[in-house]
Amino acid sequence: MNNKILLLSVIIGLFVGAGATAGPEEDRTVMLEYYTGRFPDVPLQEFANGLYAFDEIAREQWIEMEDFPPYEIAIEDGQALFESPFANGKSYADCFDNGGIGIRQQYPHFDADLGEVVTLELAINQCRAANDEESLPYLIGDLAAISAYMSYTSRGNTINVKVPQDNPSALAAYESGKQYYYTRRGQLNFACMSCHVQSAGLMLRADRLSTTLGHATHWPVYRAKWGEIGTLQKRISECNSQVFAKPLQPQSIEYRNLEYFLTYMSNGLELNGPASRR
Amino acid sequence: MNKLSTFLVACAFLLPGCGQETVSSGSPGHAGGSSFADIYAAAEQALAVAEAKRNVWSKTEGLLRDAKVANADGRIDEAIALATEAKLQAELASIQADTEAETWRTRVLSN
Repeated sequence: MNNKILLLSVIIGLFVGAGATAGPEEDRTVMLEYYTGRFPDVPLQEFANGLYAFDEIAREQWIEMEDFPPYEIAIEDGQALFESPFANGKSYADCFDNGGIGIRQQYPHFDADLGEVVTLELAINQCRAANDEESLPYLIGDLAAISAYMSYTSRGNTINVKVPQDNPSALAAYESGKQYYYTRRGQLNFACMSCHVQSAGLMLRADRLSTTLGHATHWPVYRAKWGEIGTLQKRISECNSQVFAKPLQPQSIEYRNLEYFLTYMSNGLELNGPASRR
Repeated sequence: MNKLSTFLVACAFLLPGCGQETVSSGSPGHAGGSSFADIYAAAEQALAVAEAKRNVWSKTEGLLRDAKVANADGRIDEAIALATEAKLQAELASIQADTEAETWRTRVLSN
């Protein structure tokens, strides 16, 4: 056990340092090397399955849960909502490329006109606003169901988030997300990386901590502890609460930038959402 | 946990007045010369500073709400203790935000 801790310390020591000024692709490459070095027996795409990539007992339970996926109802509800026309006769399909089918891998993206990162969930509400419909709550419910359906149609597609190198605002948004990820916050003084880089694969009370690589592949997620399907930003809010930091508003600039950074880190992995988690 | 302890101890030394605002029982409305209203206002101010830095701890606002209720119920010592705790939390959150504005860079993965 002591040897394992020593090895882990050496690996972390080798990688943690002066990467603050690196660009997105360099960041992604380093993160990829870090996790593949730390979990050499885990095939790359398996990281999309979170802790089930390296926790065999939890994986067996998860595979059993997937026999009757608890998110199936959300996919059906989401499809019905997605296909229902707005009061003006238009629909979600009119707002998105390819009629909204199989496009999740493009999100989040930096909207040069808006000057901000746009997540899929934000785009869904932008579509509603453009069609004089009220916004939906971002964390659970109808919007999560629509997002689940759109993820389902995107399964198997490879995440391909872009940070345009010729757009300083896009780079700044990415950097802001990266800063949020590495910043300690809350009464417990934790950063995202405290759990998901330094302690990835280790136990925190009864739970094994997942890796950042693959964090953005499978949303929305049905979590047993929630008893319903929720979006990535619901989980981010929950992470904040768990370290006794007051969560920010869903789809705040900070959370969207964080999602931009997180998803970029998973570029090259296949989407596999919606998913189930404990 | 050691880092947290160190952080909190360091903050206690860094913050002028931290730990000095003791609650004197038997003097309703006054603690070390400060009334509940003064401490509550100071806590609100500290919270506004932390809010502006987008770094509020999750229990702070609840402590302030509880302090207000305790004060309304006449539990003055408790009200002062709660408001003092809220003020301390807000000040520590501000210090955390200031410190992290640069320190986060040391944690970034690199080759």
